[in-house]
Amino acid sequence: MVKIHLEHVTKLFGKVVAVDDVTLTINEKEFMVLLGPSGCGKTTTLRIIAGLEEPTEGEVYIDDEPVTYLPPKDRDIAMVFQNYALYPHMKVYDNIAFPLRLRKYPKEEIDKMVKEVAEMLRIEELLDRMPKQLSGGEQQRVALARALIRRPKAFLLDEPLSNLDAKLRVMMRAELKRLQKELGVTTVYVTHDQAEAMTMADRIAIMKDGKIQQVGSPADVFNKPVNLFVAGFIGSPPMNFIECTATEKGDQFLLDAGEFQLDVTCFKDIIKKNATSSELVLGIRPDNVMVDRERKEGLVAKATVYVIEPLGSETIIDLAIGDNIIKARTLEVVDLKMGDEVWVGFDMERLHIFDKKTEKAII
Amino acid sequence: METPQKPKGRKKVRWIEKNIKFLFVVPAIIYLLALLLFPAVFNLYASLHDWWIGRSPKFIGAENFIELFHDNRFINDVIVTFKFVIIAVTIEVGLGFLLALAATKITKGVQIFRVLFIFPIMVAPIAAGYMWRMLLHADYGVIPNLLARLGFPRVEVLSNPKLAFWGIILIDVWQWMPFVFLVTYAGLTALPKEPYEAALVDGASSWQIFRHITLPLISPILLTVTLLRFVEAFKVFDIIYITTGGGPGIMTESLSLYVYIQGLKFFNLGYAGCIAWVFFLIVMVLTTLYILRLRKEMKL
Repeated sequence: MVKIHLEHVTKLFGKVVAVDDVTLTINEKEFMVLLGPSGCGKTTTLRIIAGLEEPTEGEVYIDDEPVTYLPPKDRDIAMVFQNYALYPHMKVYDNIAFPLRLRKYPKEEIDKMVKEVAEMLRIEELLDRMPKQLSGGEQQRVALARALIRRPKAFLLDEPLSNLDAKLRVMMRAELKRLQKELGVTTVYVTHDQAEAMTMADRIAIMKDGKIQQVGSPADVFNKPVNLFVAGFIGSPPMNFIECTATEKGDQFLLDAGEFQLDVTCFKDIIKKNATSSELVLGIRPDNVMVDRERKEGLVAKATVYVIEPLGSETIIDLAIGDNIIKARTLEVVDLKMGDEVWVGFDMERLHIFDKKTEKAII
Repeated sequence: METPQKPKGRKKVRWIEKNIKFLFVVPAIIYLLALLLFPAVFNLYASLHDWWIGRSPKFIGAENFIELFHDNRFINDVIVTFKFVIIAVTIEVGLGFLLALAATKITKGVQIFRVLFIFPIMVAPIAAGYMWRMLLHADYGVIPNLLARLGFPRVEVLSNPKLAFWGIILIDVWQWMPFVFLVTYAGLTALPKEPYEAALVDGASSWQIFRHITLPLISPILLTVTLLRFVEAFKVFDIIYITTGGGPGIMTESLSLYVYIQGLKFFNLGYAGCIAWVFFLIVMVLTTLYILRLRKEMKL
């Protein structure tokens, strides 16, 4: 099993910067997810690791060996493509056997290995079919089988679940994770779905505009986002942002959002040290918004219930505070209705404060 | 409550709506009857008669057919035609496909090739024949003159027993290889990109990718273009008629030319019809076999 390392990798397509100075290490046996919106350069980064694209600048290392200019076939990595890229003219059996045939394995051994991997992925009964006769989920398993069969040094997966329906996606998510842990293969997984990233990854690298924004464990990127983008991208429903101005009133240090003021005297020193101006953005996850009909301690803002979204096990309440709409999530039974006046407070231990200009996290 | 009455004449309108489709097929049926079925039946009728233009036909049964298989000129022409078809089509498909493969590797300037390659296809075979007769003329032809300057002997290609056949092949390849190029190039550029990348990652070499990905994926197009050339090449007439007239002797005489000579030069309608029918059967049997194979290949 191997370690993959990207060193200041940049890729230009004409004048468009697809990947911008990316440095990233994927450790042995690690499940690394590259997460980001469409066009953020995550797939290009994966293709650079595979050798399907040559970086304009920078180096790629597999097990400390530079492989930047090595063709894909000499890197011993396997890749599952977004649309599976099965060979349309070959039966499932031949698709899976293809990598071994290229390496001139004896026929009996190929047969044994194909059957083994088919059993592992529960596709034994599909071996005689053509790819076009398979459903999306089945094609995905065949693509996985083809990648697994030659026991590669590393797996690269490019949004392999994006073409599946929601139910199958959730099921395959768990299966892929189990498979990766069982085989212990270093894996790089590209997705734009933060739920996939959070559930499967050992570590997540969040990308935007070709740049890596943050690398960390799912808990890290969720609880300690380094900037507004990461904070807004991770989590569903996303984090609430409220623009505010820092003001001092006697001993108190307040965040003034217009409709309400929040006492953040406890963070005064950190904010003063790190903020480039008094313009700040308050960030709070829906789970950390408290709502009550009565004004209690810690509830700071008056709000109107805008809409209620019951999801069975939980309820999302959209609240209007002046012009801002924020979401609150609660597991309790909600007896509110649209238009009700309520009081809203924030869990101060889970508060995030960002610099509006640099978009970087202060707290 | 009264049920609404069906409007009068509705039945008639429906009948017309249902059957009008047949009206649209009538021109095609007339075309088929007039230009295909009638000549075929007429030729079959003629082939069973001793029938010279200007004389009344006399029924002789299969006599023309029996005579045909003892006719050395017919056997020569069958061999010439087959040799022509096999060599010309092989070169056209092979060279056209190789050029198309090479063109897929070129990123700039392919458009120019594509435009240039359309010209030979647009030229009428008669015009192409005349043009090449000029180009290959021993005294004032460009090609023999250029070759003579390079030290080669000056030869009249199209009347030379050793070269005439190859001259015909050259002209046919010049005219039809671009067709194969254009069709296969279009096919190659339309192939899905993903299997290639998958094969690269799976560890395939350039040759393995060609052998296991490109060739199987392009084979339906390759087989179709071969079939088209195959059927077309069997009917070769114009370029031979213009350039060699079947000569020297009957060395470049194709079956089509022989049918023409028997029918419209010797006025032997019966015998010409007989050759045309045997020729038709040969092409039909071969084409059917080819199509069967094609169908099998197409079942991807």
